[in-house]
Amino acid sequence: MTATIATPSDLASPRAGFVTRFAAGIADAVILFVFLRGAVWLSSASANVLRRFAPPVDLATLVILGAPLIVALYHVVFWRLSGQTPGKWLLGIRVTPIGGGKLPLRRAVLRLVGYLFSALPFYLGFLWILGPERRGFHDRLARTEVVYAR
Amino acid sequence: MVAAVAVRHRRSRFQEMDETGGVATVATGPRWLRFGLGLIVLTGDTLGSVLAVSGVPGASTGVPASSAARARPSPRHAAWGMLVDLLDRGQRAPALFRACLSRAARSAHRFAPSMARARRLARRLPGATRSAAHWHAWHTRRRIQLARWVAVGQREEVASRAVAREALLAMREAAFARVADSPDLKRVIREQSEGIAVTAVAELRSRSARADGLAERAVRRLLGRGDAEGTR
Repeated sequence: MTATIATPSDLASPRAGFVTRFAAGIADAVILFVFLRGAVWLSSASANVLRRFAPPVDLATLVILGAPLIVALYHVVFWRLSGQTPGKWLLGIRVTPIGGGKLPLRRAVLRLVGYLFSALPFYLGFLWILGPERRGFHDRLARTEVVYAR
Repeated sequence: MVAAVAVRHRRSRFQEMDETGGVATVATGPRWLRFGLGLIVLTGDTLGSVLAVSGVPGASTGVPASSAARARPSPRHAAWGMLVDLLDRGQRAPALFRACLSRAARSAHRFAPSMARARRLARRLPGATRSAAHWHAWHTRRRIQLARWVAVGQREEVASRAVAREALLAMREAAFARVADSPDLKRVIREQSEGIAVTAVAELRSRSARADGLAERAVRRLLGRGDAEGTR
């Protein structure tokens, strides 16, 4: 008995490879960095303008502390709504559950958690994408795949 | 003697033309005229060759026809030569005028003593002093008037230049505004921008997709597995 592996060319919409997904990740990182940096700058500027009317908490610190939550929301919301973060849209790829359809919220959150586990052992979970199935650890955990959306 | 020199000069020029047959050594007439004539000749040649190719009877071919025309003198050449000669004389007119003036001055020198004597006699005439004073006053008034005109002219030049500049700026702004407000232009710019963006994104996507395959092949080669079937 031999186990058949679905290679990218066998699929209706071929799975995206490592380079494309890495480029999409970089695009997302840039977008998030610009957004967070702008938010920190706006918080500091508004605190300076308001002076004694400003809230007692440091808004910039609040933004920095809330950055992980913002990043998580960014990914989960975009995956849930359209399967594409802006970076993935730019590179023309989409996250879909195995079998098609929209990605449920639970699996989107699971995929995000899978990101952490993929990154922990020296990003080996991400390097798994270079394999013939083009799926990383987080994809296997959430039973998702990333396909070319063209 | 001047005529002799001119004749010799002209002859040598024609001799040059006969010997070389070229245009570069014949330095007569302004450049714009030569350019215009050349343009007319070239247009004629081109039209002739086009008509010859299209089979119109009596139409001549391009370059050989021009060579033949150069060999056979025609009234057209005479007219061109006359025009060039006239322009050449026009260019030499200031020098000729100066020569005329110096000749007149030389002949006037001969009459200078008689003129001085006549002036002295005129001063002794009754009412000459008053006339001279009137003349000086009139001369001074004219000079002042001239100075005033010059000042007014200078002011006018500055003002008109400023007005022209303002008007040109306003016209340019209006033209730009009109062009910028044009819906067709807006549509073209939008379409081009969208086209450029779409092309750039498509290029990025195709390149990244190619890079996917390359990276996977490199990893497989590194791990010694070779190319797998079905993968890109």
